[in-house]
Amino acid sequence: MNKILEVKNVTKYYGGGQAITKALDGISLDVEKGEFVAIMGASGSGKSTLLNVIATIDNVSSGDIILDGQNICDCSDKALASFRRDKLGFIFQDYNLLDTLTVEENIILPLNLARVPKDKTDALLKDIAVKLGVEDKLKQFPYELSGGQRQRASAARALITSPSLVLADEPTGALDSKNSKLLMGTFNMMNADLGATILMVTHDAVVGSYASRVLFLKDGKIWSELVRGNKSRQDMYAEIISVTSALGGDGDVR
Amino acid sequence: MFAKLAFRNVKRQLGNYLIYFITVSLTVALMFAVNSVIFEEELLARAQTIDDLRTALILITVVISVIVAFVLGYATSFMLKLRKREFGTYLTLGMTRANIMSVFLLESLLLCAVSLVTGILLGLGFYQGLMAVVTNVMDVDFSFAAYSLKGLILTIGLVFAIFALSSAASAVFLKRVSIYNLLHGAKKTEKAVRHPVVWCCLAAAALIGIIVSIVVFGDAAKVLIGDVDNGRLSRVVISLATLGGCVIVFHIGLSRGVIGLLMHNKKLKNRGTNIFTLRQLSGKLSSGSILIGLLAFLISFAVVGANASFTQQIGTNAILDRDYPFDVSSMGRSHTELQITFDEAEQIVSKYSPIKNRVDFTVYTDGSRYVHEFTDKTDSGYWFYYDVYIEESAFNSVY
Ligand SMILES: Nc1ncnc2c1ncn2[C@@H]1O[C@H](COP(=O)(O)OP(=O)(O)O)[C@@H](O)[C@H]1O
Ligand SMILES: [Mg+2]
Repeated sequence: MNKILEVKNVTKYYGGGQAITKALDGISLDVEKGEFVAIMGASGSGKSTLLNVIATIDNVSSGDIILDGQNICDCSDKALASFRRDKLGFIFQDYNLLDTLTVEENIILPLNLARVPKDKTDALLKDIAVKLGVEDKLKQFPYELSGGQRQRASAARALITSPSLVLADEPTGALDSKNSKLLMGTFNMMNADLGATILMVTHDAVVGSYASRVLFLKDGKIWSELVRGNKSRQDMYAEIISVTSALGGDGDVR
Repeated sequence: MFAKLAFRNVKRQLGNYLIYFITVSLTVALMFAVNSVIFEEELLARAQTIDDLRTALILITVVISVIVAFVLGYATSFMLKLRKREFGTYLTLGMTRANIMSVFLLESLLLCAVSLVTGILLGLGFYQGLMAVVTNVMDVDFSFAAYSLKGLILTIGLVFAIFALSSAASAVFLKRVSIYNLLHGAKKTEKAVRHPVVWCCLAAAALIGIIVSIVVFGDAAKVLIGDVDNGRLSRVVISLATLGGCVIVFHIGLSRGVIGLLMHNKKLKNRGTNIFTLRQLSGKLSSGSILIGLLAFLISFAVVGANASFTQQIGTNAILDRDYPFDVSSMGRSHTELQITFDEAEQIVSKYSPIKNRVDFTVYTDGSRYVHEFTDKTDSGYWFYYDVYIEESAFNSVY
């Protein structure tokens, strides 16, 4: 047992006055080192909110989030910044690569911010770029790359600091199905070979079937859970489909 | 690291920053020119008698300061808006808010300083132009105006004070805003394009407005130079104001309408990353529009200012011509002063202007004050106590 993440009874409200939304409703979950967890559920079920509060880019209304033994809900702004830098890696739906920097500059930006020496940075860059297949794109700008290549570049940026936890919100949201599958292959590789613990939000059953565990959210609560175990991906996919249809049937609709 | 990041950003986003740069430079130039006129010693000495001019100039500085404050404040928030996602990304990568503030401040300081220098250089030229206008109004001979240190210091001081204010505002924003809003806030507003067709029509109407106001302005301005007519002056002002407004509406309408229509097109929308590019384009267009509109306003302002003062000057000359049609007039009070002969009068006049021709005519009176009572000179102490007449042929030969 090596818990990386503990979410304890977390509630999150949006808005105020009469227009109040309960996005998370007393949710609790654990993630262990080396897991690849997918969070699924209908649109508006609270998936992104859950990821955002874990990512420390949004704050909880009540409850605790413990990452690597540290409660992130009572950290100062500065501590949170170094926490995000050292422990977390982010992969967004729309890549969030900076248009003004080359792919290489984008990937090494977290290392620059942590003031890692140049020779070490170069070695890490070379290693991760080869593993994610972007080594021949390093001098280009993000807009010169295809969607799949951009997402691999942003995965490289997320992984270059060897974070404790990689957070991905709809990483395949802007990709076609072929590139989605390729990216999920990359995620499996990151998980198995690079030892990355991944927490990923998706609404796509095919994408979810690559995970080792799938959590289903409904109305801000965990509704059910599937563990891959020794099942094939096809079996996992079939089970996800049956759960989502029981959930309300719009599993593959945004 | 941060300085490098800031510099690299300015360099790579030159296109975006160019608008900011031009607007701020022009505003600063205008402000510097007016400030310099205010401190022009020689002019001030003469202006003591023309209080209105001084008040007008001070009023103009106040107005320009407000414009500078608005332009700088708007430009800063424009840049901040362009950079929201970027700053959000920096924060997720582990920069602290203090780091981000220093990147942003460094960057806007760099831009502001460059714009200030350019603005002052431009202002050196504007100032000569403005002095030519002012001296023309005051009927003073003008060759080249000296620059004053006070005007320079006032300009730099004002710009930096305004810069500090707008920076403080953005610092407060950056300290408070959530990373979530930085990353996703901008996207939400851009998504909500409703009634793209209406926006397209607005853009088209604004384009027509731009063309019409330019035509009206050109037409009115042409006649304005030779003719004094308040109706025409207001047409110039109105057409220029319309021009500025239409430029703004045109940009907003175009960005919302066309992009909205494109985004409503299913085929385009579904083609991968198109939608993201479109949104970025839309964001850029609509955020740039107000600055471009302001630019139009500023140029209008300068043109109107110059025109108005020339017109005023022409107007004053016209009134002078009507009331005092002669190059030299000499009037004597026959009942208090000693009478002079015509030859003596001719000598006095020839001191001021050479005499080409001499016309003698007879003045008649019947001693009544009947016509006099109908003039507006009735009780202004005029010495024509009774009605006087001259022959029509004499009048024609004199005038
Ligand atoms: N910034 C926000 N302000 C107000 N309400 C929000 C905000 N973000 C999300 N919500 C609301 O919270 C609920 C959960 O949203 P979200 O976590 O984005 O769902 P999902 O990612 O599963 O589609 C929804 O009802 C949504 O409308
Ligand atoms: Mg979501």
